[in-house]
Amino acid sequence: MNLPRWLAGKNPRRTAVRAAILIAAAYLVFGYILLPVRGAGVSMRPTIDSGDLIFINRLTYRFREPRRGDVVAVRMAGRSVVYVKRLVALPGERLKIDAGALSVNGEWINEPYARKRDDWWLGEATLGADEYFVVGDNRTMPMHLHDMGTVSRARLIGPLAF
Amino acid sequence: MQRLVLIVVGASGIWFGYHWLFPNDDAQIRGVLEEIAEAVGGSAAQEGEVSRLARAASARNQLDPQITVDAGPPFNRMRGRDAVIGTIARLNGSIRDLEVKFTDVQITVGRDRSSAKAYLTAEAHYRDRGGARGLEARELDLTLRRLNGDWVVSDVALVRTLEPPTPR
Repeated sequence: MNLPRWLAGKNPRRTAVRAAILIAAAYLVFGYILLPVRGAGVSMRPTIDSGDLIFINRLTYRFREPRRGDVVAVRMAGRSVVYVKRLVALPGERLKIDAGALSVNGEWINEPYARKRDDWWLGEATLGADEYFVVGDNRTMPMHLHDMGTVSRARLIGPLAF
Repeated sequence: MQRLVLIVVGASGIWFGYHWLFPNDDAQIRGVLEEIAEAVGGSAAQEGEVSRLARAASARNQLDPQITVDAGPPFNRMRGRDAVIGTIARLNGSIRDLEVKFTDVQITVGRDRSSAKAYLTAEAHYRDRGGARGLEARELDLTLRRLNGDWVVSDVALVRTLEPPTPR
């Protein structure tokens, strides 16, 4: 069986090897290293908009702990659908939100990504030993329509790669 | 070589045919979930009232007559198949182009094969008032049981991915 030249190239054997390497590389990169995520919704505006394609680095948290300010993917039942949020408070920290501004351990946090703020209010709470607080960058939307809250370490897939 | 290809194709055909004719518990439960997703969403753009209600009612065979649905606060716990079907019909009527998918489905069948658990993410794709596409996703824990030989969903509980912080 002869494949057409546009498909097999000048040297079909070399083309087959290249194709196999490409498939293996794509399988490794997208199966184990980078998680592609298509943005849906407005909660991470202006950082991530609906329809934006982003990549989450699944290896980062094997080498370092999550940090405040990371944009993270939070897994649900699996990794097909994930929340993408900003990690703003770490285990053991005290946080509160007043007039849309975030305070951690009594200090107001500078959040250049949250340009405008609606009148959000969240009473002071201290996070547990395995609780990370995540929230979207879009503080202009009504608070009751915005999904935010604490997640365990096991749910954090990794930070935004690009 | 040709004989080997024929053997592989034949064996694959027999394997797929057997599993199609005699699906295992996992496949049966996935089938039940697909039927429910189709009944809740999957509405055609110009669907009439009667076909909308008929589609919602098609979930009857997949739901336990005593089903309970706990969507968490502020919603009340829902009990009974008729109440659930009524809610499905209302959802279909009030949300434009609703399409429901169950992803990352993890099924655990009990040892006696009379009960099972399904943990999954439910995705609801819809069109908002402005015509833009929207997506809501929630984690669900489902309990199923055998009723007259068929799997039915007997309990649905919302799993909160993001928990509100405890004031302290």
